[in-house]
This record gives sequence, C-alpha cells and structure tokens, in this order.
Amino acid sequence: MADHTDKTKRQTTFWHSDPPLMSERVREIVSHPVNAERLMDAVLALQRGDLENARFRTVQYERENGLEEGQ
Amino acid sequence: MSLALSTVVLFILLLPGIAFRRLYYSEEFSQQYFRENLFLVFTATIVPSLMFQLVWYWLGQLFTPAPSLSALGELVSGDSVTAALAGVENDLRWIVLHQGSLCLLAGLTGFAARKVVRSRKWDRRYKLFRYRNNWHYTLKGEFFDFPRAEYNLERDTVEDIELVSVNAVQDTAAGSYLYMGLLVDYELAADGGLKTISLKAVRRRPLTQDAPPSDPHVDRFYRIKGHMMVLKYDELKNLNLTYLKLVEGENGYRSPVEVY
Repeated sequence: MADHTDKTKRQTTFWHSDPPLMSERVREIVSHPVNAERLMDAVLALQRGDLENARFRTVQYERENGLEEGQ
Repeated sequence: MSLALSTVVLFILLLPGIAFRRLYYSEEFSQQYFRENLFLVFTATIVPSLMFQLVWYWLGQLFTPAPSLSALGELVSGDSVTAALAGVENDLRWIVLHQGSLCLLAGLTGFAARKVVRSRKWDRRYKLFRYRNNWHYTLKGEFFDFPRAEYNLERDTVEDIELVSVNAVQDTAAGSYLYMGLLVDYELAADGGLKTISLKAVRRRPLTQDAPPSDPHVDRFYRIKGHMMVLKYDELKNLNLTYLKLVEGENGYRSPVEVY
C-alpha cells in the first residue's frame, strides 16, 4: 500500500481512499496567505510562459534563513 | 392494517441493504445515493438485503435455533397475523439481535467495499465500479486512469498531482471576466452536476486583456482579497483546469509544473 505520509503526493490507501484536492505540502503552503499568493503568482507566470518567475519561496524558509523577500 | 404491517415488515427486511448502500455511496459519492428515485432504491436494495438476510439467518442457526420463517410469511402475506405476532413475541430477542447485528454488518460491509474499490482504483479501471460523480474524477484528475481516456499521463501519476489551477469565465454586465485561482473545494448539486467551486488566491481580469501589457509594471490582474472565493457553476461559461505539481529548486525555491 502507498505511504500516505508522503506530503508531496496525494496517496490513496485503504483508510485514505479519497485523496484531497491538494497534497499535504500544498495545503501547508496555502494555509499562509502570503505563501498562497506567491504560489498563485508562480502559477500565473507558468501559464504565460515566464519560467524565470514561475517559482516561489515560502515565508517560513526566508525567515529561517534570514532572507528578505526577493533576496 | 395488514397492508401497513406487511410494508413495515418488508422495510425492516430491507434495512440491511439500505445500510450497505448508504455507506457504499458515502462522502464524495453520497449524491448518487440521494439522486436515485424510490423505485431504483428499492430494486437496488432488495438483492443485497435478501443475500444478507439469508446468509445471516443461516449463520445464526449454527449458534442458536432460529425461529421458523412461516411467521414471517404470515406477517408479509397478512394471513393469521395474530398467530404470527404471537410467534414474533416469543422470538423477539432473537429477531432484534439478528436484525441489529445484520444491519451493523451490512453497513460495515458497504463501508469496507467502498474502501476496497477506491483504494485499489477499481472504479477508475472498471466502469462497473465507477461512481456517477464525474466531477470528482475530473477535479481530482482521476480520469487520467480511465482505460478509455483520450490521453493519459506519460511521466507522472494521478497521485503526483498536488494542486489544480482553475481558470473560469463569468459573464457580467460589465463584460466577461476571467477568474484564476487554486481549487480548494467543490460542491455538487442534487442532480450530480457541479454547484460551486471554491478558489484561493484569486485574480480577475477582463477576458479581453489576454495580451500582457506593454509596461511590465502594470498588473492586468485584480487581486481579490479573502480567504476563499466561491463561484457558482451555473454562472460560469467554462472552466479550464491545469493539474500541477511542485518541483524543488535551489535556495528553497519551488516551481509549479504541469503534470504529464
């Protein structure tokens, strides 16, 4: 059976037979409003073909590494 | 009076099938249970009910003498009701235990059957097991696993889909607008169609502004503040779904990419 603890995948197991719409990793990201906006900005960049800007970093990562936004 | 009594008896006999189907069609597939009319429910319930009743009656006899079924027949047919009721009164404890345990077993069987079908993806592989909740399969990308899908995923699997981006067009008095956001929830209508979709981090722009502005500092999107935006499906012209996953990059960056 698949490992439902993998946060990057929407695993289907016997007890978790209806996977959610988002992976656990994404759910954690969008729980923070700033992260959700950054993720959506990256998605929009992807849709218009702007691969350079089709990426984002979470607020938590920047805080943990002492980075400022855009750094 | 006898008609009412026989109806009650029949209903009690059908309870295991009702319990089984109720738990088999539950959660995201519960609309399929409530959508069916009384005749369909009856005909789809009687077969599993009969099977459960017969098997459990036979198993019950292995542990304790079971009451005669003639009293049941008399109750259902309306003949010798008084004598039949007296027989029921004598075996009431057995009957209550039998029916109670059977309904519990039938419910658990329906629950387990659904779990097996979903966890082994039989509903994706075989049409026989497929639920009539097309929007579930569409919004979660599970249709990629259908054998007759026009296209499927070459590199990724359905489980790799981490999020779904939605573009929805809505007509307003001021013109058509494109709403773009991350899909976080949906709700089905009573007829099984889509009722609402809920998006997060929503942007909006006029549909006519497809081309990016010449000035890169001008944002053609209006950011809609709020925790979640609910769009009514019957007010939307169309939906465009993009199934995405995140790829880890350097320095903590993550990039959304389309699954394929």
